[in-house]
Amino acid sequence: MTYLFWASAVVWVGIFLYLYGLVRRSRALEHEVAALRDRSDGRSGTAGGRSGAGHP
Amino acid sequence: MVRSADVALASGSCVAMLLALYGAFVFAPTERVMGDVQRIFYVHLPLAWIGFVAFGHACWAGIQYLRTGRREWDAVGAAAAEIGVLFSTLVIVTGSLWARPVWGTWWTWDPQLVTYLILWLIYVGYLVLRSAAGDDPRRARFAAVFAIVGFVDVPLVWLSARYLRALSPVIFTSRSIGLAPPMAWALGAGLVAWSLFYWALFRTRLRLGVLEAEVAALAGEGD
Repeated sequence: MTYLFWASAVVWVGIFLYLYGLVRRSRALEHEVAALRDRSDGRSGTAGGRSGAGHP
Repeated sequence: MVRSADVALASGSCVAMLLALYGAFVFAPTERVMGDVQRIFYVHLPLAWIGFVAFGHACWAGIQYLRTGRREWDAVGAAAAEIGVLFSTLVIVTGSLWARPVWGTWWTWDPQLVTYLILWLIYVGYLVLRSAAGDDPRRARFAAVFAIVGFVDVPLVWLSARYLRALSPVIFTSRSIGLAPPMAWALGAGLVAWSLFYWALFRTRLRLGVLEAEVAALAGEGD
């Protein structure tokens, strides 16, 4: 019974660790997308400022 | 974004998994010689089977990538191989936990075990290669070739159990299933449940892989 318990425990702990890893990667991706969006907004803002300065 | 098909698949695999657990722990009778430890087999064999399916999936994706050069196939191969390595790692661990009380050892250099260990090492190597070789088409090509060559070991694992006097029991033969009907039902439920779980996990992992590749490409363009 001990071996059966450990086999079941290993399988489910392994599966949940993998799922947890996927969730972490997904969160990291969300942060990266947010950073890209900020950078892109910053660039478009700068570009708008320049065009505004050139064409009053 | 989670689609309704994914929710249905995840729900279906949860229900099937509960039925499989019921089958393995309650419905299937206790084996006379091995006792309760034999129940490990109801998770061990489906994991081994789905691990083979995952490696076959990675091999197929490798062939498609080499044929078409589309990055989607590279992502499919990566997702399938990663899940295949997870499942095959669990197969090795559960196999050891079964072997200790039944064979009296955690590990033996039996042909089937050795060929399976080689298979596991090949696909671990595949994942290491992917993580180490940067992000370019060469990496995808190497990985595709690796996945195809690695899959050659799968028939060797299967054949070694039948023709090389391996210790592992052979359950499925061309004539019959070497199990009592309730045990065969429990095993069937496990196979269905783990197949659905693999498909749900694969879709999730694939979506993540595709998004990661797209974000990396966007970040590269921005630099």
